[in-house]
Amino acid sequence: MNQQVKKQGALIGPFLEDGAKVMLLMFLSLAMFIFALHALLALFHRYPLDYGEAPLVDQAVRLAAGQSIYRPDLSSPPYTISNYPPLYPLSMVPFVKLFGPNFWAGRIISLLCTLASGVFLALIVYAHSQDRLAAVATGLLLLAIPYVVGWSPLARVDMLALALSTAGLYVVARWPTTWRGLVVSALLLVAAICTRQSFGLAAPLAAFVWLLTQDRRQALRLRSGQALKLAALVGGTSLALFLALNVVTRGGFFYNIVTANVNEFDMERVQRSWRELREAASILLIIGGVSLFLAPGRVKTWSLLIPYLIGACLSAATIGKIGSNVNYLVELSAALTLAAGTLLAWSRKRRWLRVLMLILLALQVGQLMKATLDGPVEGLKWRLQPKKELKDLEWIVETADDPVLADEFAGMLTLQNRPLYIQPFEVTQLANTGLWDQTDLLASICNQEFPIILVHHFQGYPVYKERWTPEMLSAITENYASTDFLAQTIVFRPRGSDIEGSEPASREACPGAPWRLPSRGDMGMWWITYQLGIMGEGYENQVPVYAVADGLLTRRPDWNSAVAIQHDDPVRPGEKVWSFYGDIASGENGESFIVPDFPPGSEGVPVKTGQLLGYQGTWSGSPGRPIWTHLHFAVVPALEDGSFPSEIVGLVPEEEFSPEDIPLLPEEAEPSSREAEIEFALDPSPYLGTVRSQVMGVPTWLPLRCQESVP
Amino acid sequence: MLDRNGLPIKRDPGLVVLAVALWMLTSVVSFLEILTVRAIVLRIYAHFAMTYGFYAREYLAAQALGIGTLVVMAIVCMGVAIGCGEYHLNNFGQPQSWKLFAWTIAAEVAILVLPLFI
Repeated sequence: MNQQVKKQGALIGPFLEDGAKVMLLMFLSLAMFIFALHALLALFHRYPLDYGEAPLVDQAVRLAAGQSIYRPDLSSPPYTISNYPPLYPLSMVPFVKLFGPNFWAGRIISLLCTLASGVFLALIVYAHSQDRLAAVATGLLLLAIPYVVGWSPLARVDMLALALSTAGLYVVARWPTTWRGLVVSALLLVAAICTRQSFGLAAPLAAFVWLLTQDRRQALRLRSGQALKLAALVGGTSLALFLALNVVTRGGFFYNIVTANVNEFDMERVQRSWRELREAASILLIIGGVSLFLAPGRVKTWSLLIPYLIGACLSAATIGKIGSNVNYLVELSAALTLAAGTLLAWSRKRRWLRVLMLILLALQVGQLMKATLDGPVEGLKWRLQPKKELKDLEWIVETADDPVLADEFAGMLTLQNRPLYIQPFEVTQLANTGLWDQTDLLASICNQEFPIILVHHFQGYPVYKERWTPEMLSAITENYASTDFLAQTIVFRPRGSDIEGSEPASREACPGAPWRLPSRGDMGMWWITYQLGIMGEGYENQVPVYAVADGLLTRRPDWNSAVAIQHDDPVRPGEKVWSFYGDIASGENGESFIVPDFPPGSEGVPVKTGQLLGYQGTWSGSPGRPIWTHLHFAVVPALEDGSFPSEIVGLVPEEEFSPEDIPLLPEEAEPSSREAEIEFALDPSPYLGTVRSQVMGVPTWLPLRCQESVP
Repeated sequence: MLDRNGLPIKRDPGLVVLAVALWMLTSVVSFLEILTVRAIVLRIYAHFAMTYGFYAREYLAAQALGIGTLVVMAIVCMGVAIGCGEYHLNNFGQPQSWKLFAWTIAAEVAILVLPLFI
């Protein structure tokens, strides 16, 4: 009976293995497709995709100009820090010289290095197992990990460092006993350290232990000789380079690389990253853990794998530093991938175990794909989406004189070949630890020396508090007024300056229209009985609402979410007309988003075109029933005495507002109905220059379009 | 079917039933999976689509993509059913025939499982 089962197992086994292979390769193919699509979208995006990109391109520009990037002190501007050794910025120098400052060159370098890292890991597995499937799976698995997908098309140092360190590991794994292999490997490992200093742990440690355990026929003295030679080469060369650079930069190298890099450590960050890693790569983590116990004595490359895993884990733990990102997990991703590939190769002669491994890895790839689509892909979309806003922001930066303070979009300056004045996160960390005196910068902010300051707001996480000290933030808000909100970035301009003149008002209005648009309608508009629902994209209290023209603002005492402005009617000369702005409140609790300048009871307050009134809300007419972020806009004819009509259906009082109360009128209504309708609302099209959003007379959702754009 | 010597090949009736059943199963499932593949394609597209809504450009593109996927998958499935049928007929009982069954079933299982992750 037992023999029969074995015989049947032997018959079915090869087919099951083939099937499992196909399944894994299909999952991997789809993951590669997602990787490629993500990379293509990211590669040629003009603007920065990450806070850390601009400083590196800025460093490349300065290196190309023959300047030092490691200043020994920050007592005078520019307040910039070069956190990493110079190899990556140096690799961008030829591109910067040839094409000017750009992000694509650095991103292409990173992407190619990611692919190279996958190849080197695959070669390490293949070199000692000759298992093609395991090698291919290792290489592709790396490219399926969300941290790698997200980081590979960024102009950041990490992927170059990973490629150099995995290349070093491959050389030492392939030619462990030759002098040439030793030197090449050592040089590659040194190059990795010269790209990112944290790569000085895992790969060199793995190479050292690997050499120590090589060729057991040799005496321990000989074996340890090779390992010590590698350690001496890597350690000695790195130290010599460090000292040389430190002398040349008069201590600036140490200050930038070490002093300015020791940020506050937060255990909560480590726990959060661990949770995310567990959710995304649970099977890889189990395989990594199992390999720690299973590999010694069973797997040929255990002495390379285990120290690499342990070293990568220790490096990854530094993710607890404030300001760190998932790039701290890139080396751990490589180590886990290597562990998976190594165990897959080891299981080749154990058919059922191999089938299990192949199926588990296929499921792991699925889990990684899900994490990639929910993480890096969504993140990338969020960065690419506000194209028009980014262009507007670039225009604002372009037309502003130096110096400009910026955080997330400091790269707008870099793109215009203008040096960075500040890296706010880095200097804030130094100020928090008492290593940098911010007095001069605060004085400059208070003196309004900056024509614009850009402060970025991430949704759901107050990252600006890590990037700017509380003193800087209060100096900015006291001396500067927020004038624009573009791509989640607040544009601050000095209070008292001619704010309107510098605003790209034409981009906020339809060409030739007498009034500007009251708000952004990224998601379209809802046209109903001559009242507009203008739908902005974003959460409540984010999308600004502006005055459409000069006028006198009124906010009655019972108006929680609405204001109205009286204007000279540009369409019916000699008459008065009101623009009405409603639903500027939270749909949950009715919290008003109207700016404090216009409290309830305001009457006849002069306002200028484009003046900020508040932010779009989700108010639907009753609390606890929020709807999509929007602005309720209407053009209302004034009464004979010029006042605002009190009996406006659907406008006031808001508490009684209900969409059912608003009569739906067909486009071609009877003249009598139309007259009655005009009594409380006018067609806003002539005022705003927009296209009416009615299809066959039925009000409906349409994109917010200007009349000129109609074919 | 005749062997090399021109004599009729003796086939195990059980294996014939198994092979026919597997071929029919894989063919039918491949046609049923046309919609699953379309769902996978559209879900990935939706993850990368920048804007949403009935009037978004991406909506029309998604419609075209869905129809394109249906056409391509219909051709692929017919190819699988006819091509695999021919292959199994010519290589009945051979390891490569069972191997092709294993590949087809694995691919179909993978297609069924993939939407769980996308």
